[in-house]
Order: sequence, then structure tokens, then C-alpha cells
Amino acid sequence: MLYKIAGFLYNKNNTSRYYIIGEVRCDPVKQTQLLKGVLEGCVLLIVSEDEVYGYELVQTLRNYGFTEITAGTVYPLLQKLEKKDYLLSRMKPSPDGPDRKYYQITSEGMNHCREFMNQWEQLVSNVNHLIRIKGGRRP
Amino acid sequence: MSKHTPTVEAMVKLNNQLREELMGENKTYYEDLLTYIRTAGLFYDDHEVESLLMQILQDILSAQHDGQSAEAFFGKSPQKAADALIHNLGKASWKEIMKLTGIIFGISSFFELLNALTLPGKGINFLVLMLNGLLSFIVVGIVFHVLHRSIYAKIVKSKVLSFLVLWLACMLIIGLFVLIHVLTPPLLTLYLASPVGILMITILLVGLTIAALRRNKEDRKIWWSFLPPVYIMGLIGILSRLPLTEDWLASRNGRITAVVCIGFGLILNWVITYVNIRAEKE
Repeated sequence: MLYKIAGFLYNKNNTSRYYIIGEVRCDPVKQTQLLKGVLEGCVLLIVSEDEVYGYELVQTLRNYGFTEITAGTVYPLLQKLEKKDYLLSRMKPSPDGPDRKYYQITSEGMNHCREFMNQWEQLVSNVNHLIRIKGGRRP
Repeated sequence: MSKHTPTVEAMVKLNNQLREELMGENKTYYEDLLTYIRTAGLFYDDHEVESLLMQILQDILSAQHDGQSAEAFFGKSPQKAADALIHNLGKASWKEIMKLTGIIFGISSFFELLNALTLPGKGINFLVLMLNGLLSFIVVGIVFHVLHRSIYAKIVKSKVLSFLVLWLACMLIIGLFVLIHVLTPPLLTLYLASPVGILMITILLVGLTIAALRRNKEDRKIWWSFLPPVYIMGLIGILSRLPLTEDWLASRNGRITAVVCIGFGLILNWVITYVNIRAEKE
């Protein structure tokens, strides 16, 4: 059910809006499930500013509040984004040892990122509206 | 890929080096992950696999450096993450597939050839050669699969049970190879005259020795363990074709001596391998 919120973004379907997100903030597992769909957009946002390598990205995500995120979630995501040509990787020499893989955003990636930001703003506005109207009546 | 991208062998070597910097549970965590991904299949793009493993290793090392455990960094479900990563891996190029197939067929054929040449008069059965190659291929695939599954398997077997299962599996595999020899009709067989046989054996032995000498220090130990049995079998093969000794070797005493020598050679093989493994563990 919580995953539907993420699916909502990619469906651009504004019909069903009856979702309860109060649970999400309290439960870290459910938070991760919700965010998986949104994570792509967040990763693109971070990479759009500067190229990163894996460890750096995980740390940055954790600093921005995604405290429960692990590399095990981020790596497959990076792989997927690279296969979709939203990210480009290259090897750069690192101060401590062998070359590391750095990811940078592509123009398709930037487009996808902008699309994500628009959809997210739409979603936030819809859900907030719903809470304002219906959220008062708690069981 | 530019010309500066390292080869797969170089990456594996670097991985082995860097892995030593991992401590305790981090090392176990990473090595499980490494083996799981490497045994996921025979035909994934090796370069991509090793790049991925190197990337993960470097990041886990950075995490360790910052006081974070591998589990805290990578997550409590490495298997799930690994499965997702494996799913996105590219397949090996045709050249690599041919190379792998060639190596497996080559090794199985070498031993089959050696076996055939040790006993004069039997000839080289090409059908057996091909079937052996096929079976070797299947066995390698099965070994990979079993290793892959056993990394994150939840079943805890007793040591005795797992030893028995392993023993049974080995018996089965050896049995299948013997069965191939016994049941295959002599359809595509090549019979060699004695001098040709001697020449072939010499070529094989010299070839093996040169290949063994060309290896670097670490690999050489493994190759050297195979030299005793191969030399002994080769020697018996040559002697059983020389007019001076062939009669004696065909006799009962000769055959028993030959078998004992071969057995001795195999024991030497086992001993050298055992010593190497012990030396590595220290």
C-alpha cells in the first residue's frame, strides 16, 4: 500500500488519493519501502550537483536524513540508473590507492530529475490537501 | 573502455591484496559476498564482475576506516543486494565464452589423452574425449551452483553429514567418468603406432612442464603438484611401447608395478596439494 505512493509518481494518475502516511514516519522499514521509488530522484539530485563515488553517495544520503539507507540498496540503484543512461561512470585516481568509480549525471538524467521534482511537488501538494481536509478525523 | 583499464587478472590480484586490509567480521562479510557473486554463473562478463567487486571492496574499506562495520554500511541483507546486482550484470563476450569452454575441454582432454596413452593398444577415442569434456563442463557448473547456494544457506549441516554428501557426490562424478569409458562404443577411435605414441607422450610432458614453468610463483605450486602423477603415467606409457620393456609391462607383475607407481604418483599429488593449502592458511 505504501509502495503505491511511489507508484503514484510514475503513473501521473491523480484519481486515487486516499493514502495514510502517518505510519510511515514512525517505522524505518516502511520508510525505506516508500522511499525506494523516490530514491532514484534523490540520487539524481545529489549527483546533479557534483560527481560522486559509492561510499560518498551513501554518506550524503544519510546526512540528508535517509539514516537507514544502506549501500546494498544504493548500489543496485546506481547500476540501474547507469544502464538507463541517466548516469555515466568513469574511473578516477583516488588519494588512497587504486582508481575509484565516479558517477556523473547525463542530460537524460537531468531531464528525468526535473520530471521527478515536478511529480513530487504535485504529490506533496495533493497529499497535504487531503490531510488538511480528511486528516482531522482520526479513529 | 580505454587502453588503461586493467585486466581481469590484475583486478583479481589487486582485490586479493586489498582484502587483507579488511578486519574480522568485515572480511567474512565481504568474502561471502565476493564468492556469492563470482559463483553466480559461468558466463557473466568477468570484467564487469571484478569492477563491481573492487568498487564494493573500496567502499567497505572506506567505511571500515571511518569506524563503520561492513554490515552497517552494506546492510543486513547482502544476499538480496547481491541478487539485484547479479541481475543487472552483462553477459560474457563470445570470445570469453569460447576461452572458458576451451580451457575446460582442454584440461579434460589432456587427462583423457594421458589415460589413453598410458595403456598401449587402446587408442584415442574421440567420442569419449567429447563426452568427457561435456561432463567436465556440467560438473564445473554444478560445483559453482552448489558453492553459490551454500554461502547464504540457512541450513546448518553437521560436519559428518556434509562430508558424507561430498563423498557421495565425488563418487558419483568419478563413476560417471568411468561409465563414459566403459559404455562408449569405439566409434571415433584413433589407433597409434608405438613410436607415435611415444612422441605424443613426450610432447604432452614437455608441454606441461613448459606451461608449469611459465606460471608465476603462486600458481606454480598448484601446477607442480600435478607433475608427479603425470610424469609417472607418461613414463609407464613410454616404457610400455619400447621393445625392451613392453613385454614385462604387459605381464602381471609389470601391470601391478605400474598401477602401484601411478597410485604413488597420485599420493604425491595429494601430499603436495595438502602442504600447499596448509602453507597458505598460515
